[in-house]
Parts: sequence; C-alpha cells; structure tokens
Amino acid sequence: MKKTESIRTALYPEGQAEKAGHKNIEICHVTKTYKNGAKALDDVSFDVGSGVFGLLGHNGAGKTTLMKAIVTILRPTKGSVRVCGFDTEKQGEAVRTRIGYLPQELAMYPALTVLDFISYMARLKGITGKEEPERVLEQVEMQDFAGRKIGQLSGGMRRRVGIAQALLGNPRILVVDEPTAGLDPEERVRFRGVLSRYAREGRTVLLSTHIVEDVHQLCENLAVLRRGRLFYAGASKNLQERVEGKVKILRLEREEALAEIQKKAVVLATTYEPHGLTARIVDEEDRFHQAEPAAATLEDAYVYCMGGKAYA
Amino acid sequence: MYIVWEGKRMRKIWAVIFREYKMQTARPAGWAVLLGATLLAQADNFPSVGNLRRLEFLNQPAYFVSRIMNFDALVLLFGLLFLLAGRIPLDRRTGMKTLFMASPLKKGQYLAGKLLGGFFSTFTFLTVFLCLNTTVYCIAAPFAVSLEDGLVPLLKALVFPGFFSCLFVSFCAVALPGIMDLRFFYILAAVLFGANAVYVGSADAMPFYLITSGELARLIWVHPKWPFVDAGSVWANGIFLTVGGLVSGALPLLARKFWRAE
Repeated sequence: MKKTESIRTALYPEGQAEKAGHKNIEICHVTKTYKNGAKALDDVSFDVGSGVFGLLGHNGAGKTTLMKAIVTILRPTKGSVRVCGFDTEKQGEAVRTRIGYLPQELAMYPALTVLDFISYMARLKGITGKEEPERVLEQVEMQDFAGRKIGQLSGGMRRRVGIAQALLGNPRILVVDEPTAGLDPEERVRFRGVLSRYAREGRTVLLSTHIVEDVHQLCENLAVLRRGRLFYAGASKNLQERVEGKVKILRLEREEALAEIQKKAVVLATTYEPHGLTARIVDEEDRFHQAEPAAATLEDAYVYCMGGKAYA
Repeated sequence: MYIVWEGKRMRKIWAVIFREYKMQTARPAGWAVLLGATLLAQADNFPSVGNLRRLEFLNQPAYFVSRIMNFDALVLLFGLLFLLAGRIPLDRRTGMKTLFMASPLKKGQYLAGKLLGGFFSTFTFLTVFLCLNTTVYCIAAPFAVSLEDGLVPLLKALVFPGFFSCLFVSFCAVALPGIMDLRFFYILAAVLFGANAVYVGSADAMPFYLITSGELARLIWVHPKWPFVDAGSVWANGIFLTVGGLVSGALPLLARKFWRAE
C-alpha cells in the first residue's frame, strides 16, 4: 500500500491526475484472451470524458469484460486502462477509491435490510457514520425503504439499492453494467434520471447496455463493441448520421419477398400485418423508390451496424 | 500515517466479521440445528431415573458435559458446517464477490473477515448449546449440583475441544468451498464426520482426527478405571484441528483465481 501510494504520488501529486486534463478513462489497445484461447476483447482503444458514456453491444460482445478491466477486477492480456490518470494494474488501489461499480447481476444479501447493506458497503469503502448511507439512499429515493429487507424488494428497488452502494463516497467514475435490463418503463425512466443527475459536475458515468433507447436518452458519446472488437467510438449523433436519409419503410404483400430484399438492403425490423408485412430497411444504394423514407434513429444505426453489412 | 492505514485495514476486517457473524447468527436454520442437537442431547442424557440407571456416571456433571461434547456437539457442528459452507459460493452467486473485488478491500481482509465471522458464530452456537444443556442438567438432576461442578467442565469443554473444534470446522467450511466444488466438499465433510460418529471410543489413545471426541475431550472427564490421558495424543489432536483449520483457511490466499489479480 505504502509503495503504491508513493508511486502514485511520484507520478501524480495528490489531485493532479484529475486536474491535469486527463480523460477520465483511457483504454489503450486492450486485449483479453482467456486460457482456452477465446478472445473476449481484441485491441480495443477509446477514451471516455465526463458525462454519461454508453457502451453498446450484443450479449457476449465483451462489454462486461471491459468493465471488469476498468474496475480492476480483471487484468488485460495486453494493453492498459487508466482511470483518472491511474493505471489499473499498477495503481489499482487508487483506481478503486475513485470508482463506484454496479455489476450486471447483483442479488446482494436478501436477509439484510437496505440500510444495513449500504452501511456495510460504506465501511468497506472506509466511510463511517450514518450520514453517507442516508444521503445515497435519498439520492435513489429509497430512504423510505431503509428498514426493509433486500429479499422483500422488487427488482427495480434492488437495482436502486445497487446504484446507491455505487454512489457511496461520491466517486468520480460510476461504472454501471446493464442497470435497466428487466426493469419496467417507470423504473427505467427513474434510473436514467439518477444517472444523468450524477454525471453533472465533471463526473463520468459509463453505462453498459444493449438497450439502445437508454443510450439515446442519456449519452452524447458511445462506443459499440462487436465480438470483442471496437466497432465505433464517438458521438451518438455521428453514428446516427451513418443511416440518415437511408432508412425506409417498405410494404410487402408476401413474406417470400423479404428474402429478395435482404439480398439488396439491410432489414432493420419487420412488422406483420393482416394483409402482408412492413419492413424497415436501410436502402444504401437507393434501389427501392416505392419505399417511404423514415426518420433515422440511433437504434436503426445500431442494428444496421450489427447487421454486419458495413462491417464485413 | 502507517498506524492510520493499519487502523483502516482492521476496521474493514471488523466490518466483514461483524456482518458475517450477524448474518450467521440470524439464520433460523442455525437455531434449528441447535434445537435438534439439544433435543438429541437431552433424549440421550437427561438425568431421568432411567438414564441415571442406564449410564453409570451420569450423576457426574463432567461426564454429562463430556458425553454431549463427544456426540451431540458433533451433530451440531456438522449442521453448522453445512450452513457455513455456502458463504463464499453465495458471494459468487449473488454478485457480492464482484462488488467486494471492485471495492478497496483486499483478499486477506475479505478472507480473514469471513473466517473469523464464521468462527465466532460457530463458537457462539456451541457455547449456547453447552450452556443450555448443562443448565437443564443441573436444574433437572435429582441430586444437588454445585455451581463449580457444573461450570468447571463446561469451561473445559469450551476451551479444549470446543475452541479447536470450532476453529477447524468453521475455517474448513468457509474456505474450502471457495476453491473447490461445493458438492465435493460436502462429500469430504460427510466422510470425516461419519468416521467421527462411528468411532466407538477406546481406553487407549484416541485417533488424532477426531473432532469433538478426541484426546482433547478427555481433558473434560476421564473414566475412573482408565484415568490416563496421553499427552502426545492431546497435542496431536490439538495440532490436527488447529493446523488443519489454519491451512484450510489459508488455501484461498494461494489460489490465484480466488481474487482479482494484484
């Protein structure tokens, strides 16, 4: 600990890491290969500044692996991750004190009350007293349920308790893995509110999800992972611009016609109707004049990217 | 600066110990095991006229304590072992271990907290078990039992086989499922406890691997016809329980995959 602290102090005198204009998270050529040879991440590089940053990708794209590397749980095979200027491998202790983390699946201890659990996590982060646990519970609107056992809470409430423990100590970086999966719309809206409020004042929220709507609502910048590789990193609107003016709605009478269309365009979605079906497509070469133009969304851009045509 | 850091490190270990202890002692299953072992102990050793006639030395409180320590405490510890064995796998299943690893908590702090929390809770259950049964014996006995007669064997049972048995059982139960398959651990534990339960006892030195009925238990009460206690066997029994517990407890520290890479 003493050694780590001295290295940190030598490299970045107290507070300088945050002030020196570093990006909050810097991911440089990160590769993670497991013992069985499977590559979970392959040469991934991008930076994350302040605000809410989205990390999109299919299940198994490598989002959780990358998040684990950021929160120091997992060591990359190659490359490096820096958080607030601190290297996650060499200065893990300094990173861990600056990060709040909500894992993808967090059932917690069902027999504990909400306040007991939050107080426990606070103590592990070196925080004593009741003020901080009460403050974070208030932030996620759970103060009225402080005495209730975690096992008696709904899924949404449990997620709120999960985010409350991540907010303990007011960390500069908040890393949340699939926080809205399985939540009802009301809870999802509430969650977005909590995350966007937190991202103010120079803090960073790294949000991993496969729900594009959440990214659309919250993130100005995002990265898209596909099979462990970085597919896109940059502004959300730039990704959306990739399909701007190309999205069309095509009405078909027979399902068989869909196969023909798939040869000429990327089909984003299909809706079956009483007399035929409607296909939402990306018409790159303007072949389908009979189709109606439609406003492009971030989801269109994402599905288009994942469809593989541009990637291949 | 160093003292402050040490203090913070200890505070985190205490936080884990306290939470583990509270969760274990609040589990109804733990108290159910205690109740079962108590009923078993009383059914076999209650100082009724029939039992006093059947068991030659039951009129001696030390004999009573020794008897319940030999077999009924083994049943209690076996039940508690099963409950404790799920602690680290539970952390894995619920995502808590991921959370601990992402927090400024070290592997040693986590493990020490888990082991000591398990030990204190096991020792609490054993203490309650011995105190409860001895109290019932003292009250129900059809002869006068002085406070000293009841208290001395009780303290001996807690200090000698009690402390070491709890150390062995709790450390093995908490740590080993962290590095091996839980079902395999249950099989190993069942074999060891089974061997303990079927051992009928002997006037000679007892095998070192006995958990609650080894040579250490002879420090509570010895048979008047064979008052000899083998010092070497006492040491062997004590060393087996202590070293077995400590080595098992330390094994996760050596397992690289147990914690984040540091």
